[in-house]
Amino acid sequence: MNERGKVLDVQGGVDAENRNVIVHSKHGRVNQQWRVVYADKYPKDPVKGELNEKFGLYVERPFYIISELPEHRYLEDSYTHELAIKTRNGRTQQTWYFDQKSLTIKCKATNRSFNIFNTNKMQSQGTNSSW
Amino acid sequence: MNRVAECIGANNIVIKRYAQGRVAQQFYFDEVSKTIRSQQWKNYGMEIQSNGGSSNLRMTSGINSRWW
Repeated sequence: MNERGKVLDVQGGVDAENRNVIVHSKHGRVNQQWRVVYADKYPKDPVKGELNEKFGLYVERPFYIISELPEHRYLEDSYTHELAIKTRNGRTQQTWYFDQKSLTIKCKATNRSFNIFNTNKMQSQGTNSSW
Repeated sequence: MNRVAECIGANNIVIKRYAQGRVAQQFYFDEVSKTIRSQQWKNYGMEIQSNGGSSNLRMTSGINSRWW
């Protein structure tokens, strides 16, 4: 709390990336609640092969994404950015991994991430979305 | 982890996703001035604009806001 009785406040209580922080008289709601975590005590990010517990995925550990439809086809990234299911073919276009830096799922062949396009259409794209 | 406070260009403060080792997201309490300062811009501390009369929070080198 500041000497004038004001506290840090996430403006409007909106939990969004780049949301402005202001000061406000104390009301105690969650947008005025903060934890002080000393930098040397902050949990280290997982590295290659370790589990990212928040995302439930291992860092840079290749995996397939397989449909539960009867033919169990594999999710594949085409070079036209479209995603489709195809019969397993051993190509790296069907291999995916979790990237710790961008927190996205990337295709091993194209290094492009899952991206939501036009609300509900999936495609692969240069990294701008996190999961 | 949740979002953390980050200095943007030594002036504004926003919340952003934690990034390991990013000093713009690190602050420290300066006992002498009783201010909260930026680890990246050590001459800058948190200040309420207009001598505390505003709701705007900024990082400034003319620190006049004490915290405890």
